Amino acid sequence: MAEETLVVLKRREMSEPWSFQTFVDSGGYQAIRKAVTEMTPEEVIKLVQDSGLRGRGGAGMGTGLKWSLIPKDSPKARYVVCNGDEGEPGAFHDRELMETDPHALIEGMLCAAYAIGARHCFIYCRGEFILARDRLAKAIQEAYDNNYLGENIMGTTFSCDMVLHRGAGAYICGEETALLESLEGYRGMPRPRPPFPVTEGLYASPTVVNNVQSLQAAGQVILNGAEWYRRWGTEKSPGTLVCSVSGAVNNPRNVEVPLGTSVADVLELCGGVDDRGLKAFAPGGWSTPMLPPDKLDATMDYEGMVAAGSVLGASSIIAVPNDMCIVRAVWRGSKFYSHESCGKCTPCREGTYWVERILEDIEHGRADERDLERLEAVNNGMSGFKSLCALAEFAAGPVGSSIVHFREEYEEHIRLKACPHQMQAVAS
Amino acid sequence: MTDTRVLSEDFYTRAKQIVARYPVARSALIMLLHDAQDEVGYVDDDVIREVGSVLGLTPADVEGVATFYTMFKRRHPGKFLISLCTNMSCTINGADETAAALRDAVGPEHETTSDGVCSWESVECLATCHWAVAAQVNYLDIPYLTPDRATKLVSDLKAGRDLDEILSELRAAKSLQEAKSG
Amino acid sequence: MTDVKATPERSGGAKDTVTITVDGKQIEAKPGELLIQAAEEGGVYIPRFCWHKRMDPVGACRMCLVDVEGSPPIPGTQSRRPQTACTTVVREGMVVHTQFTSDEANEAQKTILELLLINHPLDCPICDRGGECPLQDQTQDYGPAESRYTQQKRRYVKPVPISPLINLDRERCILCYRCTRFCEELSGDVLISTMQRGPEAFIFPFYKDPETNGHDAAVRGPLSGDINETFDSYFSGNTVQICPVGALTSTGYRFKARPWDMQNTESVCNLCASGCSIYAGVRVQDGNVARINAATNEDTNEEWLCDKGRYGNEYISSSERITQPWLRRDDALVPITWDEAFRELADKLAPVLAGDSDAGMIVGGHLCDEDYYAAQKFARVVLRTNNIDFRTEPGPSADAVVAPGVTYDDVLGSDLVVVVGTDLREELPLLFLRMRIAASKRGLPIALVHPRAVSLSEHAQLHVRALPGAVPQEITQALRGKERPIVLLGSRACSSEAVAAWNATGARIAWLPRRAGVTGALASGAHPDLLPGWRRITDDGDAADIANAWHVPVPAKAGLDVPGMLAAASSDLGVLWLVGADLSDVPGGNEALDKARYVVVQDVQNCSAVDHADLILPAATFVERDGTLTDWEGRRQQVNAAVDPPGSARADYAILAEAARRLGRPIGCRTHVQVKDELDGLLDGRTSIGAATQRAPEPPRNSDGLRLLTYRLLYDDGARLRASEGIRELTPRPFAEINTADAERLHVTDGANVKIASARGSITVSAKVTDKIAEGVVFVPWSQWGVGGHQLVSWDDQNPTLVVEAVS
Ligand SMILES: Cc1cc2nc3c(=O)[nH]c(=O)nc-3n(C[C@H](O)[C@H](O)[C@H](O)COP(=O)(O)O)c2cc1C
Ligand code: SF4
Ligand code: FES
Repeated sequence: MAEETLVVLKRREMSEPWSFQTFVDSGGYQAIRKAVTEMTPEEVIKLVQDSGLRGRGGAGMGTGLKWSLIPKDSPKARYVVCNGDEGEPGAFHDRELMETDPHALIEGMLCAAYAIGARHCFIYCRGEFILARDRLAKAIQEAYDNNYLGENIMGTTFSCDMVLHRGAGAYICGEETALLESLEGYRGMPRPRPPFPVTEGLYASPTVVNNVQSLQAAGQVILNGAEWYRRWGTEKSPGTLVCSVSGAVNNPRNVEVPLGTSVADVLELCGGVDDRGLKAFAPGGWSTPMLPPDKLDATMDYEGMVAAGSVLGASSIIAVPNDMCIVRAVWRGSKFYSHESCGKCTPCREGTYWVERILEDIEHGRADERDLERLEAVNNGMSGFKSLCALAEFAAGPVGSSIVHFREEYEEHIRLKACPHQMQAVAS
Repeated sequence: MTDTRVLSEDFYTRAKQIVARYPVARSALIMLLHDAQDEVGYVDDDVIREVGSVLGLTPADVEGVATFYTMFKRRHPGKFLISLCTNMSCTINGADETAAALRDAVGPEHETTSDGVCSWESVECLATCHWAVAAQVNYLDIPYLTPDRATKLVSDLKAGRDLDEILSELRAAKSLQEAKSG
Repeated sequence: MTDVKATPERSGGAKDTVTITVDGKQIEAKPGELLIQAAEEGGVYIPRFCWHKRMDPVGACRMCLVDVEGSPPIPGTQSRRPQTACTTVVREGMVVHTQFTSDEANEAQKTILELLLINHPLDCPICDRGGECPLQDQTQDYGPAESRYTQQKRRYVKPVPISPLINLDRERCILCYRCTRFCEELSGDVLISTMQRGPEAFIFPFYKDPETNGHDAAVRGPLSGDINETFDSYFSGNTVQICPVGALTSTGYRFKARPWDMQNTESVCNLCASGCSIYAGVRVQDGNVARINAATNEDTNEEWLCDKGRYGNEYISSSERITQPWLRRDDALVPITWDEAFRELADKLAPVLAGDSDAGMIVGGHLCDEDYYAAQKFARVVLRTNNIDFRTEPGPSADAVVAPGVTYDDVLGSDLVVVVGTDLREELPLLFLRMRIAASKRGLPIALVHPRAVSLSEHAQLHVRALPGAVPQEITQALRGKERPIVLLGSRACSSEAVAAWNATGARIAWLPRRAGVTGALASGAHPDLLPGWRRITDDGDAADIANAWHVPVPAKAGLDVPGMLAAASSDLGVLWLVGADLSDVPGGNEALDKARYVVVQDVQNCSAVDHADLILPAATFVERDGTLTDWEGRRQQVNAAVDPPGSARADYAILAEAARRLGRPIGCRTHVQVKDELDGLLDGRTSIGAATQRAPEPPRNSDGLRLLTYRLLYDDGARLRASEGIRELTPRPFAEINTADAERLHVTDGANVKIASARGSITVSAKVTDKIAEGVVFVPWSQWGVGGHQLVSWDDQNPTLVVEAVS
């Protein structure tokens, strides 16, 4: 039986872990002290690179690698931006990390700022997260009051400011370039890449955008070393990972495990699947292709999930119970994507609109076989990397994977001209 | 001129401070809209004009931004806005039933009760899936909003009970099972 | 949207070309160039909707997907991720397969097209864009014959008039953001935006609070379209022209004609001196000008027009046109033939020709070069007088004339452009637009001398709020050491003192006339002290040149200017001849006409002068005749007849030439080519004129109370403009702009009425209280709805002292 390995969640059981006192009493701000007083920025970047830490925001790019891509010779200001816009259906780890350990995030950002030579940091915190906002705001104030932010931090020549920025209800602002547009005061619509944020990010200046967990983990890595971090996880996916687990499980919650832990073990840590039984699960949030129960031994790491036919994404397992109609679930998901599509590019704007409509018709018994063909056609049309950002891919994932694994459920809807689950519910 | 403004002097003072935090003034737009909406209750035409004037932006520009983000309301919601997550984990755990209960207790989505107290909306994943069925009242989190608890929530709000009290009562439940069994 | 900028520095390389291979073809591209453009220049056209070469790419429509070797793979397939050619910067050795050679690219494009059509209404038969619609064309070329989708399409109320000039049909919109980018990046008038998001996103102006208008907009979805602010931009029509579908359409053109019914004639706009190339679209069936569109001209307007040029031409087919000669008999106007008209002229001009009496000609500002030439020659050869002038508004005296020579390219490539005493957006909209674009995209350095915060203020590095005439030290200092400095003098800043002072800075000077014909008028000598080819009448050599060319001596007596002629009209002048000159808002104009002995009005349409006319001669508009127009740069461009003149109207030069012949003193040229050739000969090589006398200018003092500032807005009472309904609706009401401190002192409140009086007259208008105008100056537009600054100024004082009082 797997065990939890608390690295970024290490303060979760402490009393008032968000307070400045608890933080410093438990080793807080030692990572940035070490970095600034004992290391050059290059050494910091190298250390993070050596640890093999990969971004937890979804794409899994090496965190140290990203930092190293900031042009050394650019005369422009550099920025560190934390992506705290967590909105992936099923994901709730970043919220917990911001709410319980805000100082650890500040420290991680300071390390990033020191490493890349940034003077300004921004936390883009999802608008609906009031508690996270309040705790972060207080923590930032405390950090200023104690000279961990502002001029000449800890009496060194390193100075850094931090601004807490709020989102206002748009999933797409989790996409890094949309986030930057939003932070610049525009509609949160993604930009074409390249140029990537590391060369032209915020205000067209070199910018590191990192996920909350990536930044907090980076702080730990700097404090404890690359080898220490590599004690956990796999060769290509070292370290630990916070997984959000929800849906049909007995004890839904965040668990932190070494990368490479199997889905079955993670579910076990959450009290197992509840008595409705497991029909399917999405391993990385709803936006990742769903898998059938026979893939429960797939491992929660970047390579393992690809091997199983999905992706690690936001490492958030949603357990879909047996009594849930797959078409209904996918339809509900499709509403999410059409509601959250920014509308900038054609495949996503039109595709999500049409997928939602066809799924609605299938679920309500208004569709024929040709609609299933149409569904697949639009879904294929919007995927295949034709869109500007990955949201269209995300939207296509559940539809495509559900047709692969549960085609007969779609066909049954069409045959019965109704949803079999609804019929059952009415009957009983 | 000042007397025709809908936003307070305090708003304008705060706005200056907020704008000063950013290297480029326009970056403050979303923060200012939040602030203005908190004052007025929603983003009405005047809020759009006045926030725009602080940053030197046209109303069309500001409206384009405001209507992109779901938290900015172009219509006045009730004094208490209940946001019910109907995304996947919550749907799996009964969000449809809760939505029906809210529809009964409050009315159709986005409409406000005649006393102006309540309105509700279904929202996307609130990142409290472990609390499914998750919800918020004025963006304050509520765990396990079963249909019964939703009905009671609405009647408590309409009765004018203290929000903090209501919330701490609702948050006392430690699991969906416990919440269901009352 | 701040997306990829195709700046050359991005590629970094010092080489001046990169070689790429597109569909097997080697193409030399510029470093930093975008693939879509490089391919097109190399002969491979990649389809597109959102990309527009004058705006930053957004990569939104995804129509330009191609296969670029080396792109990351699509997991689980043999294919590479397709790339948008409009956001991909060329790299040395890049190998690209477009829809012509790659199945993947072809499939990807087809898919995009199908997705675009999913929600498109396919109402092509009733769409103004039908026949010239890129979406329609691409569908025909690549697209599916019918839509596979049967579900309900998006619906919107259609169309919504988003301004008196423009309709928006949101169902047809494919969200390419060309219109919004035009407004954001180019014109700076962010009056339309993308609203809402995702599949429900739509382009719209600031719309009404759904709370107060009962719409259900909190839930996304169709709004009926009640708007708070119209799309009131001087450049709005460009968005119609670049809309790749029929979402934005011109109200005036709606349902008027179909593209295939139309014959397009290239010409030049004559509504200001910007020199914009246009296409006049004439509906073949009825010979009416159905629309004016911009033609591409990289030297002048690129591919843009202002709305005055695009929509301000409805007078051409208005019922107010003069279509035959008229004669006043017993206080009534009666129609006559041309023959009768010429006989009447001979009769009335007999004493003038005999030398017993004098005559004068006032020419308007919108004529062609040939008309000015013919008019001044007529005055000098037939009437034997130098009484000819075009300056119905402030214009240069002979010693303040700056011959043109500075071009758009010079201005845009300058290292400091000083703009003195002109509000460019109101006066030369296209020069404004191009300078604005250069300033916002490349940081073109601009300095301003103007009492108001005007259109370019937000882009100016330096802004001295002084009245025209001032030559501020800050600016002359800033000009020092500049390599390519340019000073642009507005029409109100062209005193000889100012010209001399600016000349002394070493900068190149250009004088910016507001009206399209003015440079041509100066070059042709339609000025009492100037002869054709920038010659001065006081220069014996110059006068001899002309006398030799004409075989007639140049009249020796000094000519009268406009105020001089107005004053003499009731006494010395036996005949006052107005050629396309509207005097309705010229100080003293109507009074003078009232008392004049005999008035000939030669014009295209009824104007107030007609009420005073003894003889009316019908003239052709610029789309009804050939000619040349000289823009502010001195660039002479061809004006081409697109339609025949109505009735028996004729071109101005032709009327004058015929009159001269009938009067027995032919001016030696009758066709426009003959006139042009003669003028060409006299212009040959002559573009410079002696430097003005060097005197320190006297800056107008602000200390003696409030001073008036007045000039014309782009949309004003201009006789022609009045026929364009849409523009009329957008024409501002009269107002007075006054500084906050002055207003406070005078107890004037914003929006309230104020009475403004000068020695010459007084008006009551509503006050705009603002810090955007300097203290001590009150701005009143020249003439709006019959009221304006023209009622306050006199000929010798354009900035009179004012008495301002709040009116309760
Ligand atoms: C539609 C979309 C939504 C995303 N949402 C999030 C998010 O909520 N949080 C996050 O950290 N990354 C999100 N990402 C990934 C970010 O674009 C980006 O890769 C990440 O913030 C980089 O941080 P990392 O390198 O630390 O992982 C999203 C990406 C897409 C395409
Ligand atoms: S894929 Fe969707 S969310 Fe991403 S840019 Fe395109 S429309 Fe916007
Ligand atoms: S033309 Fe390239 S995405 Fe539209």
